[in-house]
Amino acid sequence: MRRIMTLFFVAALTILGASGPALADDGDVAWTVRTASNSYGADRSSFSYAVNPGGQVKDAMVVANRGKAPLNLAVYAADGFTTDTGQVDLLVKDKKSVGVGVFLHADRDKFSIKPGETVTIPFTMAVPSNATPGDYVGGIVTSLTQAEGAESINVERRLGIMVKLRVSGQLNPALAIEDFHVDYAGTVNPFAKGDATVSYSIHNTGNTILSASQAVSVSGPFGWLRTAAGKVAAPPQLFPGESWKVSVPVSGVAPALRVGATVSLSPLLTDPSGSTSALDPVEATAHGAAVPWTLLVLVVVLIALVVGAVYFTRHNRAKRKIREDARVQEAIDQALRDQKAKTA
Amino acid sequence: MATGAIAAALGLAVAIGGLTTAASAADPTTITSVILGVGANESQRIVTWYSSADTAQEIQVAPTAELVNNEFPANAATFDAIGAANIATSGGFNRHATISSLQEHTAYSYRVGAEGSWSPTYSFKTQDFEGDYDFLFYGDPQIGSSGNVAKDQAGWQDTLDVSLAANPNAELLVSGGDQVETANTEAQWNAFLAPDKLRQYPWAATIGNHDVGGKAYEQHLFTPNTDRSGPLYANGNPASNTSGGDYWYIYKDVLFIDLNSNSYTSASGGGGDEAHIGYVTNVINQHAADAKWTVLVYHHSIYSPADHAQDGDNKVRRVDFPTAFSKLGVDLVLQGHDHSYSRSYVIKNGEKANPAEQPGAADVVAGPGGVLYVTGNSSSGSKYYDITDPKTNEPSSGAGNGPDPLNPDSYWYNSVQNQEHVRSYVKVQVRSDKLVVENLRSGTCAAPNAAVELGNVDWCNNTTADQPVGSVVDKVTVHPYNGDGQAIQVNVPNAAPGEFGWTIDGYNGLVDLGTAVDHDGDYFGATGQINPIVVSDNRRSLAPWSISASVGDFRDADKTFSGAYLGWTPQVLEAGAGAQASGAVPSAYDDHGQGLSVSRGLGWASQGHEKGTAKLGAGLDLKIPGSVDKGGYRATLTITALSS
Repeated sequence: MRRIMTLFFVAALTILGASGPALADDGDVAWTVRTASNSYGADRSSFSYAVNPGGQVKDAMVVANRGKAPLNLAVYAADGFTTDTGQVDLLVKDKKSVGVGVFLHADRDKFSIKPGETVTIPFTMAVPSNATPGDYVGGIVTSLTQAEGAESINVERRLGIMVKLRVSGQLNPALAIEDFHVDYAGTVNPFAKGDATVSYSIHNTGNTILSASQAVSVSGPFGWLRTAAGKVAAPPQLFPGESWKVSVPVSGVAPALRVGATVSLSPLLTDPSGSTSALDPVEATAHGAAVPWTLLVLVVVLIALVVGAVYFTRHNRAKRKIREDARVQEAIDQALRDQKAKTA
Repeated sequence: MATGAIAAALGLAVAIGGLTTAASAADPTTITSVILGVGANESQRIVTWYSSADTAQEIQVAPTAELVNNEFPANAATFDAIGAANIATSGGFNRHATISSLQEHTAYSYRVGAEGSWSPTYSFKTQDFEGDYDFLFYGDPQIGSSGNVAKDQAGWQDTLDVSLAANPNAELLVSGGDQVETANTEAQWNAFLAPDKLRQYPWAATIGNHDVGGKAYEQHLFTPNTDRSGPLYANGNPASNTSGGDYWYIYKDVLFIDLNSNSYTSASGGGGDEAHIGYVTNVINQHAADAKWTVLVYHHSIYSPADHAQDGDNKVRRVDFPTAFSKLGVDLVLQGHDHSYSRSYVIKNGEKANPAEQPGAADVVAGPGGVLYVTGNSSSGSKYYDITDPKTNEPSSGAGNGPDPLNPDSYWYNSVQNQEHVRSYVKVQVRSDKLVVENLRSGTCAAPNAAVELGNVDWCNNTTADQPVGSVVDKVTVHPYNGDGQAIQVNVPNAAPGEFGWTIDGYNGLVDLGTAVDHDGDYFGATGQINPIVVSDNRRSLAPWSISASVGDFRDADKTFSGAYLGWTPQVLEAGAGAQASGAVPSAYDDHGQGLSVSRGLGWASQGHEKGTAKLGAGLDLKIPGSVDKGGYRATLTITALSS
């Protein structure tokens, strides 16, 4: 017997555990972040650095309390990653960062900020001398957590700014096509073309941020009956080590028993200035069966009919021959009998 | 029906130097054609160069103050260069590297190459990253067009020296196109690149009709934010042996958009003017709010005064461009191709914005929709074109070449036309409340003046006494349109850039799922809402932002179930700030997926979105299998808003 279960998700989250319940009456918490205006510029929307291994950069984030209540905020850095929908998110606090989240240190872990006040949070990006060259993405966040409730969904609310870092040294942009396969779906109409689905993962195996332009086609044996997929959207900028799943429908594929799918990726290396350079294409081919089952069934039926028809024709002919032979024999016999009767 | 999964790794033999054969020690790599280019903004520069061998190369940069005895410090920033093999006629290899994270008011030194084969050390300086500045615009150097490369180089060198001696703090050198006479002739490129000023001030390249017919332009001049898609090439084919593409950059309050005007008709295979207008529209929509002024640069002058004024292709552009530029709020258009100087009237939708604007007026008011078109004269003296007469049988508006009613010797569109057969350059002063455009003489009839020296033109009417080097041919101040009312100006030093923030209703808490309800013993369900989040974004950059969230496992002591059973449906409750809701994510109970246990988007805005606020919410949907033990479970939902 199943136990009766009750789950509580408690609503009463105070703004700040440490601030006490009085602040809850003030309602909204509101704060903003921006890049500091300094010799790197006044109008940056995010942080971007180019640093040697062993080098460091000092910069700052500016936080302003736009609400009516004082705020206690934590500040820390975390590594970034690309989500399934192509957005960038940062690792949650209890996940271990290895890049920006480790290299970047704010000069404090938490701070208080009064309503209307603006606080500058200096930080240092210190790249270890053994850091691998290449691109790193992460962010620095301010975080407001609620007090630990008894039974609830804790919420950590983080407002932050993206940090892009290129550690100097040998760049090695590289993409691989993995988990590549092609599926074929025929149609009920035995003479129609079917749909193929080509799927694969784009794996950024190098140390730079990469995107790619993609071309997918499906063909029969010996490359006959080639059908190109329509325009395939470029994957998002993939960070080193990341993969991106792609599934491309290709319609109008002839059921040629065996189809080959070809994927050609032109890796696009984005220069820090925003221009892309197309690198040598990466190609891969996979095969799948494209059996026109309904057509096969039809052919089998037709063959059966033909064989049957031939059989029955022969059978009838044989039967007719037997009957004819019998009739002839009967006639002969009759004639012989008649003759015998006359002579007798 | 999966068959073999084939992994293919990418070899970068071509793109990244050093993976192929290195040159032998006896044959050291030589570095040539180093040129400093403009970056995506004032904190970047791009350096492009040629290399004799396909070796790994890099750029080394350090504040000049940190160099000791011209030696780079050990911690000088060092970055890999990217590049490829040159086409056969160029020989060798090209490389480029972007210097980023520059700081203002700093002198930097740089060198390119590799240990043992460095280029000489060059230097440049940065200035204030905000506020007023001057840039210089150079019409067609077109080295080689006089027939004498050395003389063309001498004139070009002198114009750079004269203009930068007079304006040592100019921050950009903007090209009018036609760097050389014949696209792939490296001797001409060498002469063009000879002046060391091109390694000290960033050259913002523009492609001319003499540059387009080969790859040398792209090999020599790497540009930021470059769109190299087919329609922006004259023949529609970026892989062909032609150069092309459009690009943009923002340099301190000015959005520059540079077009390949060689592609003007789709009949030749490219996207023509339509593709350029699409490009300009996109760039302005996405980035113009980040700048006070928009300046377009392309080679073919549409309001030219001389040999090309009546060209058929220009008549096409004169129909295609002006109305679009007026509507998009372009302030200034810089052009070359006609080897003579002209300054247009304020043109709106292909007509004089103000029919009463006087020829040569010293002050003009640009808006609304008014655009000033300027054509640069030869900056090298390699070739001059003479002013031509307007066509009395053609209209004085639109694509016509009719006369100016106020000055019948001149084309209807030009306030000033000038040709003296002396070199000149255009100086543009960018100020918060005006643009000042000047055409200045950089030479006289005397050498270096190749076209005059060689007798390619048979006269020169510059009078050295009254019109010496540095004297002003034309000067106009463009005042922006500030609406009909009284303009009020307030100067805010170090204006705060916009901020990215949010407001969360803190009183009601963020999540209320209540008590899970038993659904026929099938599953337990609970629904709720996250408390709405108000996102405010008033950053000038109109940069993208995104909000995403994920939830960890639900735990009650040692009991646990996956956060995947939580799904949600994001919504934009109040539109603004370009907010778009991300897709709904079902509970894993419904689709055996990962629910919110992995990062999921709540909402986002793309580059160029409007400023403002948006209210975002999401309906939460928790469905837990009946097999989960009773308990009071707790999980942590992490919501992250990121300015990118």
